[in-house]
Amino acid sequence: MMRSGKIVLLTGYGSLLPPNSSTKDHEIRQAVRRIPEIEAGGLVVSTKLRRMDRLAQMTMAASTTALRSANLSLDGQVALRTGVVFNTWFGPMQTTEAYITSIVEQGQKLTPASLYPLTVPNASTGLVTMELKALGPNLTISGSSAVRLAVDAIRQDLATVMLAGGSDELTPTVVDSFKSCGLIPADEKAAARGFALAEGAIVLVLEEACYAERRRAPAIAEIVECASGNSLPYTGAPFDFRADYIARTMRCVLERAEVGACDIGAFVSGDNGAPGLAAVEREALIKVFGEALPEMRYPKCEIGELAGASGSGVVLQAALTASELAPNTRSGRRNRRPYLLANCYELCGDITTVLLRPPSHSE
Amino acid sequence: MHETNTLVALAKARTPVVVTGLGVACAIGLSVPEFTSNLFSGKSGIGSVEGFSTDPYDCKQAGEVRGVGPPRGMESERDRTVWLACKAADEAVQDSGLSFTENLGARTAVVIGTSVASVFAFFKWKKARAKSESKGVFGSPPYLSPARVAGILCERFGVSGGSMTAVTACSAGASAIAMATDLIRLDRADVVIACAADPLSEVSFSGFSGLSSLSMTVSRPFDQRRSGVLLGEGGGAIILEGEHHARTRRARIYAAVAGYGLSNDAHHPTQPDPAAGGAIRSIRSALADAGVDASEMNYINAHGTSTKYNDLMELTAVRQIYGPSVGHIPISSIKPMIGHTLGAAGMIEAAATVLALYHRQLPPTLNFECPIEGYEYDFVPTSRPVEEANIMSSHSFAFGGNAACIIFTKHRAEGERAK
Repeated sequence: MMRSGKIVLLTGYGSLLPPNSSTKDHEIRQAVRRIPEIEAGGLVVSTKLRRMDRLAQMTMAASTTALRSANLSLDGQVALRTGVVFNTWFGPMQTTEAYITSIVEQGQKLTPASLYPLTVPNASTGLVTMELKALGPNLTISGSSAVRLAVDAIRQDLATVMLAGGSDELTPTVVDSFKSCGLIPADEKAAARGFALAEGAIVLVLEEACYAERRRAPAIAEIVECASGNSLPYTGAPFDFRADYIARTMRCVLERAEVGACDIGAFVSGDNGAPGLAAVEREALIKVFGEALPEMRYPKCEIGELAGASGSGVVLQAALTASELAPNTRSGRRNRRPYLLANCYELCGDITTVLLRPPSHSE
Repeated sequence: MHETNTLVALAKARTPVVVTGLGVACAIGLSVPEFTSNLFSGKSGIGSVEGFSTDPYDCKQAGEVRGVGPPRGMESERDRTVWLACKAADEAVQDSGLSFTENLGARTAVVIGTSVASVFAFFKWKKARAKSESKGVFGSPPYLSPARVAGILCERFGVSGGSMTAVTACSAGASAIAMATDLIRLDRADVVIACAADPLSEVSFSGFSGLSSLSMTVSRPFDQRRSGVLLGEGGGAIILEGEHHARTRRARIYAAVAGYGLSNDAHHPTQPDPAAGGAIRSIRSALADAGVDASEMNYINAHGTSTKYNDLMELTAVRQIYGPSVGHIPISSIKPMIGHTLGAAGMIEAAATVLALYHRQLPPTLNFECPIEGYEYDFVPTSRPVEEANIMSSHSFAFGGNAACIIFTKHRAEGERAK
């Protein structure tokens, strides 16, 4: 095990989600939840927005809000030491479909050449990086590991600040793919029964604790450790997991951090309502915690499955919950179960578990 | 903001990473022996495109892979990305001599690099749909996601230590190697199957054609008469392993991964930064990560696309980093032989770099004749043996501004290192 001793704090976040995302009222919780209009105008100069497609605008809006929330501007040395890791399951689908449709229907000569560079999966990360001038390590991934990769970059001193997050947009092709496997009903305006599909972007600002403290940044939570794994067999079903593999990833985090299951005060579930996932997750929890489960949170049951933004969404929910587990400074007693675990499940058996706790300097 | 002591402590604590298996499927070979032989004899795999009609395009050539089909045990698989990935990964795993027991499988991860991925099949489906007016659905969500390839490889080899997918366009293969290296360095895995694949898609062909980036003649990187890139396709796989793990099982070690650097030039979605900011930062980070001085570099496997601006940008970076010694460093690009394989390029070219180090032989820059004025460097017009084969690097740059550099070093036995 290699721990560098660098503490990683979450100091800001930004999100762009469909309206009523926090509702628990299932009557208005539609099976497919879109963002009607991207409100990035107040955050980004309009001329810059024009050269961004919808996915990039969503990612940009969340990133700009996140930096504001962290009270951080990327100038000089900070820009050189700021990296980006964004996750997307499907990439810029709207632009890709428009480009492909144009080639198929009108031919290459009548297809705008400027569309093609926006179809590559890292296009939105690139455009956001360009606008923010974040010059450190830069990755676009398709999977659950964005927060882990960001933490590893800071721990290895490759960056001081990392923007970690993800985004995805819903197009008819994406929605149809979820309909085809029965995860959402044919009438997408129907109320969701369990699984709901949403689009959006969530970006977290992670930074090295010494730097955050030096600039008096407001810390929301400490990311203590992360681990990734994958479930077998891979059957081709979108969310087919086995409890053993989920439990193993969770145990791996606890072992690396040398934290006991009994220290976990809350668990933020990655369950998105897909058939069977709740039962599998519960089986995994029992393997790790026994029958005395920690307090449970289910953010995806409210927000829906956010695809590329879902992993950072679960970690964000855990970070916000961490403040509730903060030490009781009025009485002077320490919270005896100060840690939280958050699980992220993504397509094709991909699992990441993140261990958090309230920021230590707030104690 | 930079703490040198921390860096030194980190370098000492992390697990050294070595290469113990290779697999390649590209236009000049469906196996490593075939690829090696053609790589060092300067054979071109460029030919007329057969995968789709090039009638709408001025360019008619690419580096296609002939003779690859659905993988063993997956005869109904239709995605060419999966075919190429499995072909390369099967060979690399076999080459490494590893067999994945339950315990080793739990400590083994798969990291994929791809750019085209599902778009290849999606385009074909759209075309078929336009003809038949069928209202069928493309597929379930995994078919739309590049992560599907990683899921398939995990299942194929029985590994469960994590599945990750880098989608940084033309640097995806190099990004995958960087991500894989960290998994081992940070003791998150003992073994990683790093694999990258991209098929030749009409979508990319049309895109590069529309941007006037395709050559009508040949690919000739770093040549004054260079006129554009030729596309290719392929799969590459590298088995990375913790040095101790590899030594314990007496594995053949091709090379060590000494360091990597990732950055972004934050300049323009397609045009490279003329000042080469991203490239310089990635190379500099890689040298620092590897603990290597620029003067020690023995060979650079360049991104070398043969486009006007990208080649100039890369040479600007190289000159800036290596200073006066750049004239003594052999630099070559293998893209004239295999085409630009996009997301697979970083992995296949890294494999070529490892083979150059292992065999002490430099791959040539095919078709190179006249240097660009002011950049009269050693571009290795024909393959040749190399006297010093200790430290070699591979560059990758991409749309979206991504820049990556991977540094490989000759692996030394423990006693040899102590001396």
